Amino acid sequence: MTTGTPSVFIQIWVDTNALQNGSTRGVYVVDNRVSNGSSNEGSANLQTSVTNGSVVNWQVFNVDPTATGAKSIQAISNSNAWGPGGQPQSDPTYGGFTGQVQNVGTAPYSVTFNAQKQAGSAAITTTVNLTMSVH
Amino acid sequence: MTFLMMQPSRQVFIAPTGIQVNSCISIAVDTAYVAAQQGRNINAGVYMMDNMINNGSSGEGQMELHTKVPVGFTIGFNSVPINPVSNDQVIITGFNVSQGSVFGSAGYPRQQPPLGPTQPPGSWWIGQAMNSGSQTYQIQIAVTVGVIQPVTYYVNWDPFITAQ
Repeated sequence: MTTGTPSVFIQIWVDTNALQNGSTRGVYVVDNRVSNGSSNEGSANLQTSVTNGSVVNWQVFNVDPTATGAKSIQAISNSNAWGPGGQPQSDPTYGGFTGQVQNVGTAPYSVTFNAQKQAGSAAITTTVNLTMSVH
Repeated sequence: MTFLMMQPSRQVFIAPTGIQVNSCISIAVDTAYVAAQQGRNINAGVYMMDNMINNGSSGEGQMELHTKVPVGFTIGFNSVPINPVSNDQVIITGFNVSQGSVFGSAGYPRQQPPLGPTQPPGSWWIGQAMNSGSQTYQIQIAVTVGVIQPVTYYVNWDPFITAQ
């Protein structure tokens, strides 16, 4: 289990009007590391650039903050970036998932989340394929 | 200013008197990046997206979002910092229309009460697309960083709205 306050935040913004099973249309991912060399900000292919040891938090947001549909991260995949002990897990303190990068290099990972178009509707499951560049 | 740690989970609740919106634009801001530019022009660190890509919006996730809505739609404008534990704050300070008149005067965005107890006043505005056509407008945000001696940086840019 990773500990510590996250310093890297990755926000997955969702346009639930556009969500469809198996598609990333309407999904926009941003982080707070453009100064560190992150690229593809605002797309579904974000590459986050971080220093080794950083604690990273992921959360899902609805582009419409008044929307009542539920949304939550289901899983974050394995990745070389997490090293031996940094696998992201559900985080009761900060919300979403939190993990730690423990391996230098560039490694892919994926985030799978559920989102409802409105409260009570069937959740749509979406997976975004992202990249973590650890230096 | 007393400002306790912002709750990282930005789950929000609709105020009982809140106006429902037909469409929405969210602005996510990398506050530390904006502050580090020390007032120079920026072309990153501010990410704007709407929920109208199925209606033809373009430029999603960029500064120059082009929102497309049907005439009559209300449009919410929501601003948030990407780092929720920094105590940095992002609010919208105003709008200007430089070309076109989709808002008209009746639909010009107005500040609304914050959507939840963790959001600062100014983080939620609503406008309405009253007239068909396209407009270029400017949003100005205030990014406040620092706890001991907060410093505010103002950023504005030129997105677009087309109502049809």
